[in-house]
Amino acid sequence: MKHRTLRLIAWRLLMALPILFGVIVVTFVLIRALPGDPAIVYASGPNMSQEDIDAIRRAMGLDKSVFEQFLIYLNNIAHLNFGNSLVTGQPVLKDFGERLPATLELAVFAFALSLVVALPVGVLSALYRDSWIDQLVRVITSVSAAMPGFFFGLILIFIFYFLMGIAPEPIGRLSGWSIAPPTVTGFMTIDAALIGDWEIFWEALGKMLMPAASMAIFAVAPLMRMMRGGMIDALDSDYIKAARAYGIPRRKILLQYALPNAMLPVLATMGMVLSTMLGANIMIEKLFAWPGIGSYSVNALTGVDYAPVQAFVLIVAVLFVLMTLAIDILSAAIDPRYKLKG
Amino acid sequence: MTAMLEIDNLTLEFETPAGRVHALDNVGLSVDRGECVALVGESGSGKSITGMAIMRLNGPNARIRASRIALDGTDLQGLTDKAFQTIRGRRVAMIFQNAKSALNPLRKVGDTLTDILRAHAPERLSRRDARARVLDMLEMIGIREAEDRMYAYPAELSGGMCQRIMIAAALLCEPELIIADEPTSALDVTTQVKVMDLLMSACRERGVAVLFITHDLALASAYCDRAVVMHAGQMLEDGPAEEVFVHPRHPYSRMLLDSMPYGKESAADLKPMGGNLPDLRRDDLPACRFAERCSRVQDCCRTQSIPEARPSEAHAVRCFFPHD
Amino acid sequence: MARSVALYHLRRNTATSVAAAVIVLLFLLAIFGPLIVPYDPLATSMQEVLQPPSAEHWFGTDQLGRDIFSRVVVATRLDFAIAVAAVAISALAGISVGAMSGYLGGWLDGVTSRIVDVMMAFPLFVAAMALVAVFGNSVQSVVLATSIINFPFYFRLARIEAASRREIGYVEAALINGNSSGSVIFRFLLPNSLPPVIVQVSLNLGWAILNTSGLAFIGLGVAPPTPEWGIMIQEGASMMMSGEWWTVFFPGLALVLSVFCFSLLGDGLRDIADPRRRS
Repeated sequence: MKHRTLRLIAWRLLMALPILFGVIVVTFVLIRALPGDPAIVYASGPNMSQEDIDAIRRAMGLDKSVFEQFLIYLNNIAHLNFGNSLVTGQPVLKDFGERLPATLELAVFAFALSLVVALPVGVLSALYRDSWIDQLVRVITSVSAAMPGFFFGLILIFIFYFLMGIAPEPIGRLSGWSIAPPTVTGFMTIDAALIGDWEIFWEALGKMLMPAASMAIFAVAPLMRMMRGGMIDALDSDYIKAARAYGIPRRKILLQYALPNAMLPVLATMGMVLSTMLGANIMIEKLFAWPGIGSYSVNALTGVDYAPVQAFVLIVAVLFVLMTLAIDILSAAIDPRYKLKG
Repeated sequence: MTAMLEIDNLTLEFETPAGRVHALDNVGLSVDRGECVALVGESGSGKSITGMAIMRLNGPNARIRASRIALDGTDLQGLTDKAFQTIRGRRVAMIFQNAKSALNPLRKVGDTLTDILRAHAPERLSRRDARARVLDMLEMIGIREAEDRMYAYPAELSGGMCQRIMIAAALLCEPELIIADEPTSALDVTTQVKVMDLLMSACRERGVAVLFITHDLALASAYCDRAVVMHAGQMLEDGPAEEVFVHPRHPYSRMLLDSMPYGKESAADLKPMGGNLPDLRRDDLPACRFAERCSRVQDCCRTQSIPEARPSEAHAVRCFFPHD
Repeated sequence: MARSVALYHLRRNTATSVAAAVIVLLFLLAIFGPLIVPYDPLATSMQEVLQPPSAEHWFGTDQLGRDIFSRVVVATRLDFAIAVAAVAISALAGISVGAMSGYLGGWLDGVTSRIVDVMMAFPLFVAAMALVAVFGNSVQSVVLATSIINFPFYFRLARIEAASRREIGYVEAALINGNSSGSVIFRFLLPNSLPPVIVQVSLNLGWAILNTSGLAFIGLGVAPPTPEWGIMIQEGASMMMSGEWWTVFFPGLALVLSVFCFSLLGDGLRDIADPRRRS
């Protein structure tokens, strides 16, 4: 049994490789296609003579054939060399390293939030089908599916910051006068907890609440819908009927029979959910001035600073492929039929 | 002696968006201790619904009325849902048509069996002891490599193997009655015989009564002591298997038998079933729901309540004009 | 019970019809909006900066004193035009390539399918952002980018449909009857994949509008001072913190309403196209 799972994981990893290669090719084409001379894009000083630019061209290998350039690009990626940012004047890798934890902390929190809200409500709505709770869920999912996160975020800001005054200022991870804890993980909450600074911990958590809710809003609708549908299908199935006919306790039927089966379609939509969340991340970081890689890349893009954009696209796509892979493997671990299919 | 299972005047209706479905109409039947009773009829005649009604598994939109649904003399209708849990799987077990889909696809079959045993264990039964008893049961009913099977998922087993597992599940808590709902219809013919032999010999050995729901008259006559014929939610004939299958009294039983290929000299003797089951959503169903397909029909069949004729002491026919 | 289910279907049908009616109304606004609005959507007025909604300015005025009602109505045209153009391109391209790929099979199918797999490896909005960067910051780029990110949905839909029809064998029947491959694709395969495509189009129009406004919100595609819902929300964002809610609320409402109606309509059409999958 163990063997089969390992082989499956290896097989899936293998299948993901051509996709990852495709992603790299696309990002390579992206640099070549971006407007403006790549040499100028890469060079940090824009006021250079033609000779300087030619020198950079040669240094960067832009006088070589496309194929050779691709190999150089591969080599650069292998060494995590993404070029320099025009705006910050730093290597893109360094900029990303500083900002990625902020993005991850927010994204993980938002994702957890959407699961915690959507899954139990979806289950309840399936258990009490056609009750008022189910009707309410139906309305919530329809509306939230049409709600752009940035608009929802602004509504939250208006209500909780302006009207009620209970939310912190919707800018950044900490307020201006708070001192950030020494960076260990880069996750503000964890770093604060590590040095036992609970005041900062709660402040950081509070600051995350509105942006995370805005990011989660888009994921909630599909998750809730799939959870409800999966649960209804499971409850109507033969094996639940049989389990009841054999007098297995209701609690056990729900938790060990219905729920795992109902989770399978939820996992199947998870890829789409992650895709929307990675997209929402850009808009929400911009809205809340969150110092992550999303807002950094948008600012780079509008500032015609393309190296960070290209690195961002590459990193997000690779992350996305890996997450899809993880979901795939998780489904296989839960569902024995998956392994049989190959 | 009280019968193992006794059902009197069972009427069941489903409330659906498309209207009220009159699924069962005054069904009555009984199964004695250690007896095997076949419940036969076309698909849609209400056989399975009767089985489900005994187990209270018809779902929330079913309205059940019955003067009596008794197990070993005690009426089950008075039981709370909680008390009824001690009936399901423990005193009455059920075997389903499609064993593969009746087993949780995400759970090893050994775990499912252990769940069933532990659900009814009088004292706290440890997981290990439960597994040992499950293993014993699997070996007892002749499943080879039983230990390995316990670690298999339903999708990894054949349909026949899954049905054997279900039979083990049914026998596990030493029930008094097993309701077998088309247990072999999803299997191929050779496996069918093996699984039926296994089920029936296991039940006979243990003195377990069986209500065998099937549309296959050959299987019914081969394995059962008595047969009950149902049509469109009504019970039409009830008698010893040899009488019902050799000399059917009800026109419907006769029609059913004539349409079966077994024991016919030539294809010319084979007669197709006439007409279809009536739409049970109708509010103007005739008193005898077979009236619209019957060659012997007269006006009284549609309007007056059907009398019960008794060609012999153990044989009952609900018909105005039964065959002699 | 019976009543509640019947009521539910009735309500669902009503919801679909209402959604369709609202969409028709929005399309009418998109066409005639600029003719009927009370103010010039670009006219600024320093005397009337940030006025709350009133009889004169139904939705209030923004930070430059422009009438928000006029701007919201006029923006309908641009948002709908982008969505319709983008969805039309992706549907036509996706279906033709998908049907061809599924019908012909072989290496061509293998290659196109792998390309589409790679396209799907990019989160939609991130891909849209990158593509707008490549094509240059303009409205045309948004159309093109949106149609490219939606392409895989139509491709896969048509491909599966064509491949499964081919297996059933009635394509062979048509070929034997003397139809050419091309006419088989266009006369037999495409009409059969039409119902799921219509559902997809309705859902996609909503996504495309969201996408356009999202891009505008982060400063891509449509540029100020053009009236567009995403830009208006972006421009009003800082006003939300000082309480001038109408600068964001009304364009946001228009956005949510149109996306909501498209998705309701899509769900309703799906029920009609495929009753088995009723949720």
